[in-house]
Amino acid sequence: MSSITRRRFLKTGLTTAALLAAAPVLDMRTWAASQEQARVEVVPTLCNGCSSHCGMLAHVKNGRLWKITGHPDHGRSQGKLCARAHGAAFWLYDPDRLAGPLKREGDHFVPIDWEQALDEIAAKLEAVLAAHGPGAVFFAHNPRATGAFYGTRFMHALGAPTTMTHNASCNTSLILAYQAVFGTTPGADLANSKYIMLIGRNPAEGIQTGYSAALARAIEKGAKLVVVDPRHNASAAIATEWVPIRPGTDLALLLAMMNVMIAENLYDAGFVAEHTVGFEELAAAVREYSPAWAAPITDIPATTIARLARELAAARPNCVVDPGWKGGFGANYANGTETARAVGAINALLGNLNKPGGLTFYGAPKLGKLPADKAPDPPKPTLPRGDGAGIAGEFPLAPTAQGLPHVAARKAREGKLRAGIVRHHNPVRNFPDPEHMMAGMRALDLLVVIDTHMTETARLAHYVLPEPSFLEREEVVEAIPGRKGTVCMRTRVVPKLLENTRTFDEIIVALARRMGVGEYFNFTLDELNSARLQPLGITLEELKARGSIQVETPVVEGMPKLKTPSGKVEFVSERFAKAGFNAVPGWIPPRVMPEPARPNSFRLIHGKQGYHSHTSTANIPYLLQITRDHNAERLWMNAGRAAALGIKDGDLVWVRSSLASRQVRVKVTERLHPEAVYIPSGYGNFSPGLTRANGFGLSMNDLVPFQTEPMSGHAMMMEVVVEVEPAGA
Amino acid sequence: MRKASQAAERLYLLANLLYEPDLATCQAAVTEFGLAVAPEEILRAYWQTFVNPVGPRLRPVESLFKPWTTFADCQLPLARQKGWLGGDSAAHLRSLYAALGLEVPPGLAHTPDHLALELTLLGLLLEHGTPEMRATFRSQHLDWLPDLQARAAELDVPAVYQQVLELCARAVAPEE
Ligand code: SF4
Repeated sequence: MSSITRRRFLKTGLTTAALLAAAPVLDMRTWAASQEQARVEVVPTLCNGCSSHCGMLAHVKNGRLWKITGHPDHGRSQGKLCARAHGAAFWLYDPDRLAGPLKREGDHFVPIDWEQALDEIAAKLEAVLAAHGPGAVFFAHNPRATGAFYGTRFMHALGAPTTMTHNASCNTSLILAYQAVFGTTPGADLANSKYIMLIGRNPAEGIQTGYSAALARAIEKGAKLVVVDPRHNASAAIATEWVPIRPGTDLALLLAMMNVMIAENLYDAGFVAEHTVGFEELAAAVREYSPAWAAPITDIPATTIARLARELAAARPNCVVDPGWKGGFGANYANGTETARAVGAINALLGNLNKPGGLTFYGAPKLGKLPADKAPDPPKPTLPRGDGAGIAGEFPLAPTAQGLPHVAARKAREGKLRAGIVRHHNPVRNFPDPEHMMAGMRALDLLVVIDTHMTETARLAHYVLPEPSFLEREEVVEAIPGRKGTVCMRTRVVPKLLENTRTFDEIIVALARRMGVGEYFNFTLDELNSARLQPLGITLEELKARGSIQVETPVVEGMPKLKTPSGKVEFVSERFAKAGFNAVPGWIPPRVMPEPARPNSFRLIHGKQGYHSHTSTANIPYLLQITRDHNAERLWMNAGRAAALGIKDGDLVWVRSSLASRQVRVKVTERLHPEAVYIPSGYGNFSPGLTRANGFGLSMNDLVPFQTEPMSGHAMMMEVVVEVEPAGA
Repeated sequence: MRKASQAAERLYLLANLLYEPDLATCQAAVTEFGLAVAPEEILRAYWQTFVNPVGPRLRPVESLFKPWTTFADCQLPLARQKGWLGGDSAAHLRSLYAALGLEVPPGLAHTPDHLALELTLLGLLLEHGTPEMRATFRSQHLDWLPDLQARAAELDVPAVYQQVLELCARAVAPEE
């Protein structure tokens, strides 16, 4: 036996006597009996299964998570959690988690210690700032309070103007459009509605627990639910009527319904006269868009269009055309923004603003700020943004609070953006054209990814910095709008399992100090949270103990105060006109159309499933098993079209676009418009670090080219025509 | 006594091969176990088997090979599943180390039931414990090695580490 001294992993001065004393604990049965007796503590926090951050109660025993339930005092969860929340709890104990900081060396990663990683990142950021200026640096994230506060503040401290979110692949259209029409993005009071039209929105699968529950309540109370969607989705399954529209033509339907309401004097003339500007222009614009005009475009009979308009108007003001999210028009078509403007306009014609069952304009509890004398805000950067958002000649109307990560990838390829920090956000997988997105990330001099897992974006980073899971970290206080608002925060419910992880605020403060801007971060997270709570008269201790607290928010009964230039609903937008677009909504066709002459030509559309959050949850086996059990990753195809192509249920097919060819199995169904094929959006992970999701299913993003909608700059994720053909066995 | 401490030394050496081995450890292992590879090759194989952060890797952690908990009142969906960190075995060993005043290296703190630690503990029990203690520990915490070996074969990890796992399995076999 070699005499070499080896490391002893269990440092010890262990003696036989000590061992004998501890002998009972050595036996797992004795230990288990002692554990059994412990009390279960209930610790409030926020879910992270999706961005809704519902209130969650973590039941903890002996420092281990034991069960989760919904927090009754959170405006979104209202005591309920969805399946994804129960899946997200798996993340805490996931062996795929990143256990320590990593540094790229050539084509692989090596572990690095925190201090060295932060020193090197700071030095490289300094080098980029010195060589290219702060205009070449960006921060991108899934926008919630912690990232928005620390990430944006850090960018401002560096003078960097470009902070981006995932929204350009989600709902940028709505944000821009409703800003123009209402000055803000409204919600909808589904629970009290008598008539609900969902256009592409699908609360039964695109779940926000409270919203889904409100839809169910409305139906129980006898509301009529009309689902306008090329696909008979899960909301259509509980609807009064499914209107299978041709994908990309929602705008034509809306214009024609407005035509009917105006021509037949069905709109709320009093509301329009008092609270809107531009009605004459709108009326003139929609005159040409009759139901007969819209019928061949939308594939909906003119009589149906006219009937829907009349029914909606008959139910006013306790009715709503849902303001939508991504589905239908959020970031999907060339006419997305225009469609959202038309949704805004039709609701105004119905006079439903702040009426029971109509659009809602709730505020959120007003949070405080750190005292300016002790913790002054860094000045707002004055340089032009690096992603083209808000820039004349590029995307002057694109909302700058969201930005354009897919355009940023192009700018990186052009050498204009040189360094980026990405947190809890996976643009490489979740924006179209992965080759384009990867080329952008690879072109950077420095990419730092802060996440819990080795995502497709993290794989390309120069440094990967691991955060604790959402159940092991405390975050910035959030305020949720609602008739009753909610103030809430994420708390640490169990001790950190992975010691060598650091929270986002810790990482940013450490970088800021190294880069000479520590003066903007001279406070603790507790001090920040206390300052945010101060105007509400709630102490931090109280919020930590309760997790979510409902607070009265000033509810304006009747007409809300609108932040449009005129203070009224604006059917006509000077800003749009100035930027060279329609002043009032008018018809814009989709950018591409399937070729009627080609029997295998389809538009590829996509949507959410109730048990996955985009591609972030496919690695959770509990949720992935649901997919497997139901073959739910398959491509939907209309039964008639499938028969014509000789494709049977379960057949493997090739799906080809101008960008790529992929194989997938088919679900043959009557529940889809014949011109579309549909794929659920939660699959297609290709990072080997996601050991269970890697290689499972197909992502639409593999097939959709990099493109931009002219108004808001979004990624036009359903503007893609594919050819489908049998792939053999 | 001498035999026990020799057996313990072999366990410590195997433990060293399973967590951040250095060249001297690999050299010692080549000599001790007659491994037919260069020590440098073992280092490379270690990285490929256990470290590679972007690929599937072998995690020699007991929790991953056993249902997460046997406590009936746990209502997490993962409660009865295998494949998750921080299971009963980890919780038990964490308590045990605390009771014995044993200090775990920071890199292994989240996996108190890592095979390197379990081999070390068995070594300590050989040096300081009783046959009953070792029998209890073996039956409760070292019964998962066949599953680990099967997983290693499935992942097709380098042969030298399949061999090391076989040596581990033999080293933890019940005393005659
Ligand atoms: S909707 Fe579901 S996954 Fe999203 S935060 Fe709420 S409970 Fe969690």
